[in-house]
Amino acid sequence: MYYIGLLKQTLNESKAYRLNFLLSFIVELIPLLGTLFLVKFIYSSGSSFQGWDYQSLILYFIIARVSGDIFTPVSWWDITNDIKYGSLNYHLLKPYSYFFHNYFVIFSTKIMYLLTSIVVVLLTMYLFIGIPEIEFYWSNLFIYLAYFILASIISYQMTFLLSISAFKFVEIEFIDSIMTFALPILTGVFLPFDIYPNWVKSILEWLPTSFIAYYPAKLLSSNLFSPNEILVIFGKMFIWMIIFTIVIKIMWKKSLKAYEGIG
Amino acid sequence: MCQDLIEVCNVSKGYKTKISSSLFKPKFKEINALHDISFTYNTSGNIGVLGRNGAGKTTLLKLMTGIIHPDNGSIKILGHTPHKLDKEFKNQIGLYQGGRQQLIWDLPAIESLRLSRYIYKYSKSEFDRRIELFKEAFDIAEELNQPLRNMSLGQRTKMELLFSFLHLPKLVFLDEPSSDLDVVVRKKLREFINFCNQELKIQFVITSHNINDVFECCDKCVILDRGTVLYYDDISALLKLRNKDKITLEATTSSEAAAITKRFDGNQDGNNVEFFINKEKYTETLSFIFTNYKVTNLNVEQELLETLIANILENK
Repeated sequence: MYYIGLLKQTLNESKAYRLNFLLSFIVELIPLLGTLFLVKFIYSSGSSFQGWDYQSLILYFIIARVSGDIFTPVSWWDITNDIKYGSLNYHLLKPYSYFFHNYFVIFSTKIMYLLTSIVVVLLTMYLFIGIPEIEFYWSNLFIYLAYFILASIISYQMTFLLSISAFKFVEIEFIDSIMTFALPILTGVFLPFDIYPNWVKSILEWLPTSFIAYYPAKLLSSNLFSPNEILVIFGKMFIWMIIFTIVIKIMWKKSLKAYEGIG
Repeated sequence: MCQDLIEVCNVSKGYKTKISSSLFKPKFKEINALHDISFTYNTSGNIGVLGRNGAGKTTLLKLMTGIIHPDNGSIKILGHTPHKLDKEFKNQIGLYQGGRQQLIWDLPAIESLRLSRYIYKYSKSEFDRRIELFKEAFDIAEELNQPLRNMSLGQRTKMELLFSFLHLPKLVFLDEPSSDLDVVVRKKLREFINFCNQELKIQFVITSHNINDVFECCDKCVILDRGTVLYYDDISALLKLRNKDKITLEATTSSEAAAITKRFDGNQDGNNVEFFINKEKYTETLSFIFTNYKVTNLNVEQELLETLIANILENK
């Protein structure tokens, strides 16, 4: 009941920022447009890209961008601030889970972000590929939904894990560097993993960051995965979820013992 | 068995602070924030915690709420061990820390307050009833529908305070509740705390530099100094320690003023004299002055509460 109330309240709050969401998406669209024009140029000159057709690749880049925005753990800053400046005190004394409290705050904000940017996304898609021809199966809808729920949990677990390093380290700006430089490559927002050598691709596909953009973009842009491959993806997700759950539980318990509750 | 509201037994808490930033062998210094603190509290009123900066007031409050763990000793609050942070304990307490925000900046205050009913699971009608009750008692009717960002610091403080006990807990911890408030709102806050205690049976633990918060709202008081308990007793017993009155008078001549100054070890400024006397010598002293000197103006003031606490802290 609490989380539903929180969801409603955060959606209300996010409404106040919808123009900001739209403007930030438009700004983020600039480098994406550069990539899309590059793809258009490559395909119009008769070349292709590692077996991808034009429509799938355009769709890949657009979906990877949106998916990256939704799942990239940008909210680590809020959690680290709670820890560093003592606002965590209030959360610790409330009869709810701080972990799930933040999960609902983050993803209800992301829902509003998605709703405000959807028009621009569809317009961009239309400009480059017209109305895409995608075969639709109801069974796929279930797979996509399940995927997005699991991916949101894993991406949030990564956020949480990075953020609670603030219990140990005073300076945590290194997280910002990870987000800016490493994450676009590790998530597949920058390029699909197919362009890298096979051994690099295999490593990247096993990393939890691949669930942020690479897999969802590939799942939605083309039907490149067989049912068996989809099962393997879900299997990997479950393994990472279990690993993160255990590590977070241990770290959280240890960190709270050392917490000083500044202020 | 009678359960104490607060039971603090031989509690110590220290912090390590970095004193050198060497890359390989940083040096740390151990700071004893609290040392072997013990007291119990089991009446139905409120308890105040006083002390100078760094005395350990906030550390004690954080230990009692369970935000931090004690190094040694044990604490029981409402029969619970606070740092275990069990759900039943969390439902029975509230916390307000001055200068720290928990409500949402861009939403009307009432929207943020509504979250209290989801957190602590009570009905909408009960929420409306409580808002009606507090609206009058705390004088917040006008602010309720304003976003926090449009409020003054004092107004925001009132909203944050309200959020900390809107769920009607048994015990509320207030850390410097009046530090951001003007004199009128401060007075209102004290009335409000007493109202909550008497009418709603909510009890408060108040740490404050504002001595009147404690003297007007609490029946017991802990005075901390350098991490130890310097004084723990009833407020009425503390007031009895206030045994000196300040006399200011105006003599008719400066020679008479000088004689009075010499007799009572006071300070002279022209015909004006200022000195302190013990309460038990009050009548005797005044009768002596009126018999032996010509005085045109005389004023008696009780010792200021601040002076009393400062004297205790300075061991006078």
